[in-house]
Amino acid sequence: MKIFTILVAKIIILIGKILKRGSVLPGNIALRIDKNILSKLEMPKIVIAVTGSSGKGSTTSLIANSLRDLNYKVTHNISGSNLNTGILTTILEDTTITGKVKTDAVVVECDERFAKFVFPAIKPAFVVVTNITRDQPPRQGNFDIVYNEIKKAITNDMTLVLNADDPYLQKFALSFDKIVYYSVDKNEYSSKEQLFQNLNLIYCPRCNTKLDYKYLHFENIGYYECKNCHLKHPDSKFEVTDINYNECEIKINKNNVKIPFPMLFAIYNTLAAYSVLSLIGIDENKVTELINNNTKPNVKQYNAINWDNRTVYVLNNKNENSTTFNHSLLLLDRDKDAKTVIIGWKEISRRYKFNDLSWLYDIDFEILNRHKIENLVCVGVQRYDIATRLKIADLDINKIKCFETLEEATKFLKCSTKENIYAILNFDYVDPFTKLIKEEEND
Amino acid sequence: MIKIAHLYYDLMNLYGDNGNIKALKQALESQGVKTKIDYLSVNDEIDFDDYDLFYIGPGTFNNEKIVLNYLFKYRESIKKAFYDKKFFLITGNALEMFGQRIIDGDNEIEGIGILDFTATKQAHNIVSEVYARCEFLESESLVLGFKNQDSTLDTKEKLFLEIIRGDGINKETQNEGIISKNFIGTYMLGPILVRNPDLLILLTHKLIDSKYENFDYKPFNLEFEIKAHDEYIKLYFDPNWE
Repeated sequence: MKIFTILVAKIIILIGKILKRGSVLPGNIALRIDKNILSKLEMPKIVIAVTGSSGKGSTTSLIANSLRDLNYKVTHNISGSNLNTGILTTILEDTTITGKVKTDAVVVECDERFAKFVFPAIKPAFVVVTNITRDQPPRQGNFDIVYNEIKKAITNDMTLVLNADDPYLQKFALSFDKIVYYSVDKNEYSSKEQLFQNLNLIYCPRCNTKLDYKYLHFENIGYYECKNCHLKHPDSKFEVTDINYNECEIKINKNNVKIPFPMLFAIYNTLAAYSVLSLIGIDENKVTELINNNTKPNVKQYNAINWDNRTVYVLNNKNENSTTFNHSLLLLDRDKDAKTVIIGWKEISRRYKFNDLSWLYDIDFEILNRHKIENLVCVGVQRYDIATRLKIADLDINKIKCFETLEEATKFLKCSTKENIYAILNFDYVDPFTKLIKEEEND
Repeated sequence: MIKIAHLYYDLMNLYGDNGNIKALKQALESQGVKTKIDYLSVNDEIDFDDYDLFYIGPGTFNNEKIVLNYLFKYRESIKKAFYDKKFFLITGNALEMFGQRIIDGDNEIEGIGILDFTATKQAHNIVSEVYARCEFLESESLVLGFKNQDSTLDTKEKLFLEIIRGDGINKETQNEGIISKNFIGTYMLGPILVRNPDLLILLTHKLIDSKYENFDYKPFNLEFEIKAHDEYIKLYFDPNWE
């Protein structure tokens, strides 16, 4: 039965390759023939899984590419195929007909809702849960529902690798013992002041007393303790002590490690990859070298473009995920000069027939009140919804400009503004906007 | 001055629904009415006599249970405020806490009991885009909203929204929006007072009229809100949809 299932899947994979069409179909068919096929495959010694609301793709890519540099053969699913069928298809490609995975390591990025189907079957030694944040409310409901789904995937033989700065992830510590932590120490960008309003958890996950913070990095991320039951930020094995955003370099356990772009979430992704690579037994000096060799600017996430004697920061965000937008606002908050901000998207979501906009009110646009903003440019079909959101944040309505198309908005930026620009865009506007401003430059 | 109590703001804070209160404050202030919002939670002593409007938004079930425990302490004060016709705006699953009971599988949780309904938690959230007609609006304008509803309500209370697309307050009805004295409760998200300028104006009028006689109203500055609402209907509402 096992051999038959693998054979069928492999034939479909082969046909897909001839037709130059990759898909999740082989995994899908294999699961229909034998729903337990994934657990029947013989895994290599190294199996690593990463899940969470964001950062899965960057973290797994860095781990997989670093392992390849050590001449390991690596099975790694690319973003977009992170459900059980996609993961199974990827693994079956590297499996012998008798069900033995031929590579040295399996590195899996897994959707939060599907981890319960995948982890028990592939038994990862290390599981990273990057974060559990507000994300796709129509699909996910809320973060507690996501937490409960991930929890179903974890067994006591897996070691969790978690961000100690995130009190929400301490929920796992109430149920599991094998946890290794990473964290970012107090630094010049941390503060005592809470900039964000809509926080997932600021009450102790054990006793529901309000947490005290020594310092905060972002949202509810920082150094917390509970005065009632004494739950507190756990000690971490991997710690960032210095951040140099200008050079895109951080210190992890005294090693100088590169980050792809100067934003806090890039630090956490790199730190998670560093932690996992160290935990599987690679010397930390070697890990540093591997990460540095595999860290390149990622202009799809963050692009600082010289334009018209100033800088345009093009920032990738995910609609329906307020935390990604808050990270962009955190970056903007480091810049004290006058600026223009442009916000927009092509579509709210490609996933559903309906449109939810409530997540716009989970984003802390109120932070913009701390800044001298020359223009607030709202662009796209929902431009007036964005304008309304900014108005509700008590921003000056005279600074708000609405444009239906990116072309009109870009013309306005070119002709009527002089200062640096923060383009806080959904991913579907990042490429078109970048292309347009580059064309304007060449005019 | 109008005083608003945003209750359990740090526990019941899902789906950006606190936008309702920010919008209400702006609308009141645009009329020259001084408005104060107090953010109160489990560590605060709440004086229900001191406020004109109480707001609670949606939260996780876990947080809802924490909050319900604290609300019991104020049961008599809440009843008094309700019969004194103070305003309540209660959205999302926060509404459940004001009924007789919440049924969650085999468990039954007692509600604070000022309204006549039973809430039943559902295995899957009811998610839909909602268009409704509101009997209190003079215009034909549709009320827009979104649902991410984790329970249904069996209720005999008056419902003031007739849903023409999307889900009602339970599976048997196409109605939504509880109104009882000055208590307004709905599962509809949006935030509804932001996405529906007509509803915002209506509530602002009611609040001001309850405090001041012969108030001299100025025009509301809701240009973006109205455009957002109308564009949305134009883009997505298909009157022939079955």
